[in-house]
Amino acid sequence: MLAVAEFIGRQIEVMTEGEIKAPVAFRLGGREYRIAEILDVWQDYGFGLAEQGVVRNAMLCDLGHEGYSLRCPITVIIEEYDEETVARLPEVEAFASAATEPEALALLKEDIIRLYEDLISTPEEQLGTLPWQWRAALLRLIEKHGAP
Amino acid sequence: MGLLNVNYGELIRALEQKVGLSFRTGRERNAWYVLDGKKVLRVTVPKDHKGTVGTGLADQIRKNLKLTKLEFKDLLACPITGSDYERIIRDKGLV
Repeated sequence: MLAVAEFIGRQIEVMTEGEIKAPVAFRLGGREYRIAEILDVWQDYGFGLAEQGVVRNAMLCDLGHEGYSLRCPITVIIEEYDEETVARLPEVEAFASAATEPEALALLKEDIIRLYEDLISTPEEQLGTLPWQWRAALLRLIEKHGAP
Repeated sequence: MGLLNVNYGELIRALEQKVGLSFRTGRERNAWYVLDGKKVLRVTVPKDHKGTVGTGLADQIRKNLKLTKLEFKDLLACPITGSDYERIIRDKGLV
């Protein structure tokens, strides 16, 4: 049983982390407090979504470049905000931002190709943990053709 | 915490001067964070962006940097130095 030492009825600014937006800290009266433990949770159906874009999936069937093809269609995430759209491929941490979804997808394709070229031209021993995994993932996904 | 008020110029300055990133030219700009001779993280920022960086974009850049929202805010506001950032990345076992 939790004993409430003091009830504070003031507005706080909550900072969250992770895909499920777990609270990690909050600011009250100009001071920041770290959350050591979450004691209880409940659903918030009306608030807290203002900065969360509308998220959905989209399928990429090509990379928009004749020098590269996808071995299979890949799912990317589209996040729509009021003034921007972000397209991203989380597996390799590639993303692009633009005013519209088609623009964001076109930029994402370019970014994936740039990342692929960068990774395959870098000796494996010069890749950290994550880039090494990205390289393996892109080699599985992308087929490079002879002529650019 | 909102990331709505991230100024593009301040963001680039923090990334270049504190984290030590060097952005290549191109339609989108990418930079690698290199530690011990290894490419550890890749950060993407849009080219020729002006004014305030949108929430979605700022959050993706923060994720590229492997920072919590608090750490990202500290990076922009100055409490985090380049060596602090290096320690954060090493502590996360990303090298």
